[in-house]
Amino acid sequence: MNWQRPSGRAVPVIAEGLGKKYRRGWALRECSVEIPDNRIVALVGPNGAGKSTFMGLITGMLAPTAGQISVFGDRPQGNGLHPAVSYLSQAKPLYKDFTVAETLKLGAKTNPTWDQKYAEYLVEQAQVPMKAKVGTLSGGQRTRVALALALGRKPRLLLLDEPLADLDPLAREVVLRTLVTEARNQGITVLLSSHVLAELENVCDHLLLLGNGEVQVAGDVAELLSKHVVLTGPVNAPVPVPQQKIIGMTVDEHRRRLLVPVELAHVGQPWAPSAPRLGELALAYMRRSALEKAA
Amino acid sequence: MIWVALRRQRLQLITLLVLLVVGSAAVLIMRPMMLADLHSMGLEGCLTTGLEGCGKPKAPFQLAWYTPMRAAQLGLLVLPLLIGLFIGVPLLAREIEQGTHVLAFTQSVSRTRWMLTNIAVGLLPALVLVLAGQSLINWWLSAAGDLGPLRVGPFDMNVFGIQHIAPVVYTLFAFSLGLFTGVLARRLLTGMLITLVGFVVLRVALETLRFKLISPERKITGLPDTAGVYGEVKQIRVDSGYLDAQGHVVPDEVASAASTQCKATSVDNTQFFPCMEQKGMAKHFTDMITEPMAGQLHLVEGAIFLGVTALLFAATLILVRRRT
Repeated sequence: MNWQRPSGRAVPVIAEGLGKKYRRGWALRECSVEIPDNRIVALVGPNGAGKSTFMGLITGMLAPTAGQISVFGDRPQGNGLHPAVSYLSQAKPLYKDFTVAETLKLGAKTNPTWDQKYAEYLVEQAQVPMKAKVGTLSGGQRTRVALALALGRKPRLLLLDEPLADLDPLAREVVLRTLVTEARNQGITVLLSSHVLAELENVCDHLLLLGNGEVQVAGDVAELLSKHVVLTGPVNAPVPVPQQKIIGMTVDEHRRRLLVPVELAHVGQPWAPSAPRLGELALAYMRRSALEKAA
Repeated sequence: MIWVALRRQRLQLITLLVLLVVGSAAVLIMRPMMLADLHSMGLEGCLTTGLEGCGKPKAPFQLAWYTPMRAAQLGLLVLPLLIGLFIGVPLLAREIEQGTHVLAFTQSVSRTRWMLTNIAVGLLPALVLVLAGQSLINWWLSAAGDLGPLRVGPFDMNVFGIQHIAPVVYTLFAFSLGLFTGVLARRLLTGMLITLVGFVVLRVALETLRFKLISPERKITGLPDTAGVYGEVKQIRVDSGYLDAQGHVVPDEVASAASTQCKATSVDNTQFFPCMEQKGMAKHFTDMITEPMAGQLHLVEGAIFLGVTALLFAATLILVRRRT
């Protein structure tokens, strides 16, 4: 397999036939996907879709059962994280009895690529006191410290596994804004998993949707949106497209909304075509995958 | 990485340092006080004969000094277990329980280096404390000679456990057991419980089997037995019986049957032993573990503990490196 672009710059992540099986069964299987450089990638899927497993395989915390994975051209071996990768898990584990300054010192002592000034800048920007013990910080502050620890390694790929899950809406917005700013400024590829689709919509330019342990949708957001259309019509009007072409359908008291391939956009009155939103598209694929699983 | 390990184990290291300072100070103060008491009571001459042997009143000295000496001895005996429970088990189990191992594993440090650094930072100061405690306590107890807890000889379980390499190998074993059970159980309390049980089981098992670990020294005498070894407390008699004319051991049941028959027909030993000789009991033998063999026994037992320790460290490394 060629892990590199013709330009010579290694691709952040390439998975080929990647699979991971636990005792309870396959968490991820036949996953062939590429995470492109310098993008903010939304990793979406219902619980148990394989999102955390996929991140675990990228970090090397988990070993694949099948297939292979390359991270910047290297195979993750579990001997420490790839120097160009940072990972922030959902639990955001930090030593609670360490001060913020000691937490940054930990980063400095365990990472050869550490940028102390940059990490300090991120903490100061978040107005977190350096002398405060991590255990005394609020959820939002702890997330900012964990983010500073992750970004202080100067990664080229940042993996964020549900980083906003335990934050209030205001803290979420601030953290997300910081994240996007730093990612754009530093040229970092971000793989961001989240259940909050509306948040991802505004920041992500690439989508990777997992369902039932398999890749359901992957690609550039603008391109994906341009390939789909939403048809809105009266709830009692006959469905104008074949059932198998419908990716998702929502019904309320008066209207029916169908997500279909863009080729079916012009079915005529009373159905009005409109561009889908990312959240709507992702949700439709997630529902379809859940139905397939149930079937 | 060393700084991280030192910082994480700061509380344990401070505790070890306090124990070292307080323990050393206590021994350095108590030993001269005890020697002064020995001198003032005129007991210097009793150091090799015991109090019974030198005809001096024992109560005042023993009341004053036996309990502190015994407490120091017992403290040294349980120290390895305490190190296993409170340093070995939490070292990695606490990380796994709190999920902070993910933080460690997602920095640019290999798991092997992470584990070895943590072990070195936790174990080396603990070994220093054990070695210092062993040297100081034995230095104190040996000054009391046969008036102190060492009078029972090197094979008494409470003496054997504080001498030679025993405290160090027990510490290594307890630490590695704690480390392994902590990682296996992934829970602090469960790890501590398994370590406590595992440590006691192996210690008791080897305590029971100890005198079978090395070949004893055989003393052969004519009949009647005149070796005079029964009264010695500082050596262990592991076996005794009769040998036939060719020097082979007479089976116990044969010797017992002969003894019963000879006792029935003999009035005293002058008839009993010739009767036994007539029935093929040419000589008497006694298999002994003598005092000078204590070092050899320590090395053999130590090798077993070190072997188990090596296996536990290897198993822990496998668990830590497992990517499931």
